[in-house]
Amino acid sequence: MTSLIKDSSKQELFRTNLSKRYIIERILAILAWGAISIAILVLAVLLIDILIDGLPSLNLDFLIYPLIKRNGQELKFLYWGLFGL
Amino acid sequence: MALSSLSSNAELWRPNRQRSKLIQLVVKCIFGLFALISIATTIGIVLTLIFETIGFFQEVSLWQFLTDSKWTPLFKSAKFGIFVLISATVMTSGIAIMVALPLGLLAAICLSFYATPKVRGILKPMMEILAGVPTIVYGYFAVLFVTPLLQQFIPGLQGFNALSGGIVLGIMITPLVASLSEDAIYAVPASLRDGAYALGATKGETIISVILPAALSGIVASLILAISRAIGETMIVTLAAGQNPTLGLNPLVPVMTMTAFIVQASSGDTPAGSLAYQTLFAVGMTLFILTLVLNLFSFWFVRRFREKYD
Repeated sequence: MTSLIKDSSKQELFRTNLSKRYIIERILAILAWGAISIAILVLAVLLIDILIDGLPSLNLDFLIYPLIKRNGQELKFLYWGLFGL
Repeated sequence: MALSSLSSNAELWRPNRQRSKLIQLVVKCIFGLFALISIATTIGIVLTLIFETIGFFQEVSLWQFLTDSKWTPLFKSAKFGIFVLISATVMTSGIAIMVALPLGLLAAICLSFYATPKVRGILKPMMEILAGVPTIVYGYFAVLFVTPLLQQFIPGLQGFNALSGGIVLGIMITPLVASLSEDAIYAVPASLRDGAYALGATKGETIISVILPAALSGIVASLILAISRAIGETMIVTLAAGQNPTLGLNPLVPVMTMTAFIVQASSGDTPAGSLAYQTLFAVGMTLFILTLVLNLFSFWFVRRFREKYD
């Protein structure tokens, strides 16, 4: 044990391995979180894409007429409200 | 007095036992009937495929089917080279696996090891939503979002191509790989994990050196099941990869997979009993054999390499 500690080359080796182990540890954690983030990001992009492309083509006037008068701002709010529901 | 009350109790009990026996028999029969229906359906599908495929091979030789380099069964000068469709199917499925394997496996590792229970409770349902998105929506996503995005980086990319179809197919099967791999990781006994930590291994070393080798059979099985799913997938490849039967492995051009051909031929005016009609079943049979072989290999692999712990 004493000889191990005194041997500077072995100390150096141990230190290198420690840093290598730490780097591998961090890389794996980053990759794992990155993978799940990509999956969630794809889901978000998919939903946003559907909303952006799909929303203007929807005609929800038949739902809105009985509720409020035709007013640009209020209509827009209601579109999103209905989608939120 | 006590004896007489006991005997009356026994009288009460006897008819109930007979009744419960009868109920058990009825339940057994109902369950058996449902099991029989599912088996009969499978047998019916296989028999239909076999009979129509036999009809097809009476007109077209197996040699031509396996070696021809063109696929034009609906043309006047019909060619029946199935490898044109198989190459496209293998290419899109291969791209899908290249996307789904790292994403799914790392997502499973993240959910099992790095995410706190609270974060896991949020992320896992989101992954399940990804699995529940209809494939037709994925198809539109591939055509309207992924392809234009890829065209910005790859100028020669055509509007319909195997690359975007394969990538979106990979995204679709990622939750399947993640979910099944996570199950395989959870099946590894906690004592192995604790033992590795006790020996001074870090979390990463435990995952790479202990957990993944122990869960390997389950992970490979999940991968093979995902490949089967990718091979059988229809809407994404039909919409995104196009319907141009070309033999080759260039992912930047339109291709036609086996399922895409079945959609194309089924939606046309194919007369029942004609050679074009029988071609559908021959392609269906090839698809069936391909997925069956993969599933059998998956079962064999799990049995052969499963680690058993007491």
